[in-house]
Amino acid sequence: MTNVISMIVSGVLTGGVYSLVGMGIVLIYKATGVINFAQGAMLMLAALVGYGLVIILPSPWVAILLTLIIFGFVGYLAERFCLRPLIGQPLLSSVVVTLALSWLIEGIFVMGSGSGGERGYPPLLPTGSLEVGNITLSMSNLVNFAIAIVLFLAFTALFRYSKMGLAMRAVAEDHEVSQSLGISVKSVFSQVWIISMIAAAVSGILIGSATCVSVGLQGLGWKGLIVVIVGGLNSIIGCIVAGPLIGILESFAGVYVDPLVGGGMKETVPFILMLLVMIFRPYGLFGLKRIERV
Amino acid sequence: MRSKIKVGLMTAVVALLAISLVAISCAPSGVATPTAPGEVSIGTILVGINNDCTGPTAANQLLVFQAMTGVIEKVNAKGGIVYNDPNTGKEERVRIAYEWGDDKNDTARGAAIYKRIISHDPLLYFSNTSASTIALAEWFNRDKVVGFCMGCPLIARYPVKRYVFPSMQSRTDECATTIKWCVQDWQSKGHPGMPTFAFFTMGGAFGESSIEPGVEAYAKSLGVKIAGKWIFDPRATDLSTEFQAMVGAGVNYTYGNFVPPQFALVCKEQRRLGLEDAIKVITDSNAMWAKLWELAPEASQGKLGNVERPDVTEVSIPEVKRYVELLKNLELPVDGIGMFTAGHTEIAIDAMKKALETKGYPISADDLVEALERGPLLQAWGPHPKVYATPEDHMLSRECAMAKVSGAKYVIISDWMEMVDTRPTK
Amino acid sequence: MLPCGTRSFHYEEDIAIVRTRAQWGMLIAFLIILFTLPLYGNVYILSILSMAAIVLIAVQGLNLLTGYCGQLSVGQAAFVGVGAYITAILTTRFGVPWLAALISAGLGAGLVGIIFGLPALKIKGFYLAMTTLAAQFILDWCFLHLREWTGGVSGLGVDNASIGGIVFASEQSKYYLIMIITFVMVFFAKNIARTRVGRAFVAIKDNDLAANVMGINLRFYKLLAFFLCCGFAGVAGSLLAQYMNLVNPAQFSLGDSILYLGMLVVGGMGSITGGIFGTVFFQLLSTLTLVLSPLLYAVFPGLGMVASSAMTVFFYAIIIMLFLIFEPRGINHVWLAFKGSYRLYPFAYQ
Repeated sequence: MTNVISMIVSGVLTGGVYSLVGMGIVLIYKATGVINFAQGAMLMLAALVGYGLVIILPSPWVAILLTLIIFGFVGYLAERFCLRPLIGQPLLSSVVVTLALSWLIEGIFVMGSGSGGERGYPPLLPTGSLEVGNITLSMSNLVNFAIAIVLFLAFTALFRYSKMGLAMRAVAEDHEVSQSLGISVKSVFSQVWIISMIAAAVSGILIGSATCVSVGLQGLGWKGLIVVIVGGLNSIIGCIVAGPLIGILESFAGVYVDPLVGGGMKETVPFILMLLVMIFRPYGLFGLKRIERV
Repeated sequence: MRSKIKVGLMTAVVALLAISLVAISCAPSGVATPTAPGEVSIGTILVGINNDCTGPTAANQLLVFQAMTGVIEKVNAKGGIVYNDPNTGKEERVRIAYEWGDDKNDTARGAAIYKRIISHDPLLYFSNTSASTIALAEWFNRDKVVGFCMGCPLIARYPVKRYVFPSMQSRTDECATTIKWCVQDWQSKGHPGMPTFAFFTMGGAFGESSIEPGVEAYAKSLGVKIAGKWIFDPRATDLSTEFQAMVGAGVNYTYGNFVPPQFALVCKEQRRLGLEDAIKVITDSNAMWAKLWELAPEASQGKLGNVERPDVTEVSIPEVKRYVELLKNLELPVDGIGMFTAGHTEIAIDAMKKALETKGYPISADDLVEALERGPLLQAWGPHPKVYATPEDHMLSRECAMAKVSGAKYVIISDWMEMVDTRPTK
Repeated sequence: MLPCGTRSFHYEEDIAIVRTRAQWGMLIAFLIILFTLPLYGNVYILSILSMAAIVLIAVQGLNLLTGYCGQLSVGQAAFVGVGAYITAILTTRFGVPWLAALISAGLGAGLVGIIFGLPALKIKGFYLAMTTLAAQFILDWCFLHLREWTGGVSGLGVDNASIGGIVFASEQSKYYLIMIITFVMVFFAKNIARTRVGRAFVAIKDNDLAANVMGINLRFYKLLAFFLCCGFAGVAGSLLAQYMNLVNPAQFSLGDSILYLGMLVVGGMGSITGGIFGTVFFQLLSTLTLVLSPLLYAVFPGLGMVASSAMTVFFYAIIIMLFLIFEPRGINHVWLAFKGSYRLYPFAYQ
C-alpha cells in the first residue's frame, strides 16, 4: 500500500514538471493559436545558458535572473522573425516552423555545449528528500511542483485580472475583432512569447539543476505537448491536472507494465493515453468544446 | 526587400547545389599532418573513422575520437610507421591518413559516410556507433575492408566474419561475469542462498542491451533470481518508483549500461533514497568516470551512491600506467573508454607494421587480417588485460573488463576471475 | 506554361504529362543518363542517388497525404520502418520472394497507416499532427520491444533482393532495382494526383465541408490518403531494407519524419515535381554537410569537431525556415516562374 501511495506521490511530483512545460505551450496557443513544438528545445537551451551564467557569475540568483531576461528576448526574437511572417498561413507552416526552430536551437545547443553537452549544475535548490511517513519525496521535484503551482496562479491572475491578460483573451477569441477594438495583436503576440519563453527558462533551469543539462531535456517538450492535449489545448487548469495524471500513469506503467513487456512502456503509455483522449474527447479534459472537427 | 531576399535565397539554393556536386565529385581523401622535414614516407595508409560526436551517445564518442586520432597523430609525428621493408631491405616510413564522418548514430548517415570513405579505398575502417556498425559489418566483408567495430557490443551477436573485428568485450559476457562476481560477493558476505538481480538501463536505443538471452540462461544456471528489467526514461527526474519496486522485489544488485547523465541520476537517486546499502549499483567499465564526477559534483567530496571515485592513476599495472600517461599527454580525461580506444588504435597500427614488415608497402586487407590474427599483439593494457584475435574468433578482447570500484581503488574483476563465455557453442 | 504555339485539340493532349517533342527528348536523355550512370559513375555517386530515390518514394507518399489532401503527418519515417520490418520478417522468416514482400510491405504499411489515420475522421490540423507523432513513438516502441519479431536494438539482417533468380547484390544492380521501382512509384503518384482521387484530395484540402457537399466521401478519401501515404512509405522501407541489408530502429527516427516534411516544404507541397526537388536538394545538402564538417574541422581545428558536425541541423533548420517565410510554395514555384519568364523572353510581362 505504501508502495502504491509513494508511486502516486512521486508521479504527481514528476507530473508537476510536465505541467510546467505544458503551461508555456498553452499560453502561446491561447493567444496566438500556434502550437510550439520548440518548447522542449527552448527549455534545453535555457538550462545550458543558465548553467553557463551560474558558473561565470558570482551569484547564482543574478545568473538565473539574467537567463530569464535573455529568454524573454529570445521569445521576442522567435516571435518576431519566425512566427509573425507566417500569420495567416496554413497551420502546417506554423507546425513546421516550430519544428525547424527546435532543430535550430538544437544546433546552437550542441555548438555551444560541445559533445553531448552534459553539465552538472552546482547545487542551487535543496537536494535530498523529505520523509513523510514511509514515503520519500524528492525535494527538487517538490520545488518544481511548487513553482508550477505558483506559475499557474500567476498566469490565472494575469489572464483574469490584468489588462494585458484581458487583451490576450480578446486576441485569442478573434484577431480581427480585437485589432478593431484597438488592441495591438502584434504586441500581444510578442508579450505571450516572452512570457512563455521565460516560463520555459524557469523550467529549464529547475530541471537542469535537478538532473543535468543534456540533449535529453528536449524530450520534455513532447511530454508538455501530451499534457496540453490531455488537459485541453486552451486550459491552464487542464494543464495542472493533466501533468500529475500523466506522471501517475507513468509511475504505474514503469512499475507494473514495463517488467511484463520488457520496458519502454513508461515513455509510450502517455502517447497511448493521448491517442485515446483524442479519439473519445478531442477537446481534452478541460478544453473548450469548440474544437476543429470534421 | 522581400523579392531581393527571395532572389538571394534561390541563389543560395543553386550555389549550395553546385557546391554539393563539386564536393561529391572531388572530396579530398583523408587528413594527415604534414611530414616532418627530412623524413620521406613512401606512402600513406588511409583509415576511415565513423563516430557519433553528436547524437544520443555523443558523451562517450568525442573522447573516443580524440584518443584515436591522438594515437594516429603521435605515430605520424614520428614520421609514420617505421618498419624494415622486405623488398628494399631498408628502413621505410608509411604515414597514416584518416578520414572521418559524424553519423549522429543514424544508420543512413553511417552508410553514406561509409560509401564516401570507401570510394577512397581505405585499408581499415573504425566504426564506433552502435546503430551503423551492424549494417557496416555486412559491407566490410563484401568490400574487403578491415572493420574495427568499437564500442558496439551488439556486433558480437553475429557470426564471425573474416574482415570484422569487434574490438570490445561482449556485453553479454560482461554481464554474465558481473552476475558471477556478484554471487561471490554475496556469498563472501555470509548471506545464504542466491542474490536477486535487476537490470536497470536507460531507454531508447540502449534499452535492452544489458540482458541478453545468453545472460538469462547463464543466470538461471547459477540459480540467480532476475527480478526484472527496468528501463527508465532518459528524461526522468525521479527514479523513486523504480527503486522502490526493486526494493519491493527484494533486489540486491542492479547492473546497468548507461551514458553518464543517466548514470549520474541513478547514483543521485540511490543516494537520495538511502538505498546505498540495500542495492548495489554496478556499471560497466566503459562508464566515463571523469564525466560522471563532473555531472554529480557532490561525488568529489565523497560518496556517490554505491560507487566511489576510482583513481586510475593509482592502479599499479604497468600497462594501465602507460595509458594514463598517453591520455595525459594527449590532454584527454583519463578514463576507461579513452584507454580502451587508444589501446585498440595501437593494436591496429602494430598490425599494420607487422604486415608491412612481411609484405612491404602496399599491404592489402588480407595482409592486415593475417597480421591481426597472428596472436596477442598487446599483452596487457588498461583495464582490459589480454587481447586475442584468432581466425575462429575475431573478438579483440575477450578477457573480462568488469571493473568494480571499491574504496577509491579500481578493482579489476578479471584480475581474479575468468570471463564467462556465453557464446553459443559451435 | 507551355512553349508558345503549343495548342491542345484533344483532351489527351491537354492532360499529357510529357507534352512537346523537346520534353520527350529531355525525358529520354535524362533516363538514358540515369540508367547508364553505373557504367561510368563511381559507387559513391550511385549510393547517394539510390538513397535519394528511396527517400523520394516516402516523400511522394507524404506529398499525397500532406501536400494534396492537407492532412499533416509527422510520423512518415515510422511507416517506412513498418515496411522495412515487414520485408525483413517475410523474407528471412518465411522465405517469401522479395517482390511479394515488397508488395506486402506496401499493403501492410498502408493498413497500419489506416489505423493511425482513423482519428483523422474526427480531428484535424494540429491534433492530427499529434496523432501521427504518437504513431511515431508507438511504432518506435514496437520496433524496439517486440523482440521476437523485430530483433530489438540490433534489428534484423536482410538478404539481397532477388527476382526470378537474379540477385541484386552489387551497388550497381541495387541502383537499377531502386531506380526502376522509384520511377514506377513516382509515375503512380503523378497519376493519382491528376485523376479523380487527386482532385478529391485537393478538394478536401481546400475545404472539407465543401468537398463533402460536392459528394466526395470524406471518410473514404481521407483513409485512402493515409493508405497511399503509408503504402508508399512501406515500399520505400522495403527498398531500404534490401539496400542496407539490415533493419534497425535507429533508421526510422522522428528526425527523419521531420526531415521528410522539410523536404516537402522546401520542394513545394502539392506537386510531384516539388517533392523531387526537395528530396534531391536535401539529399545533396546532407552529403555536403557530411563532406564539409571534417573539412571545416581540418581548416579550423579551434571550431571543434562537434561544432562543425552540429552545423547539419542548423543548416536544415535555417533553410526550412527561410523557405517557409519567403517562398512557401517552394523551389517548384520558382522553377515554374523561371520557366514562364524564359518562355516569354524578351517580353517581360507574365
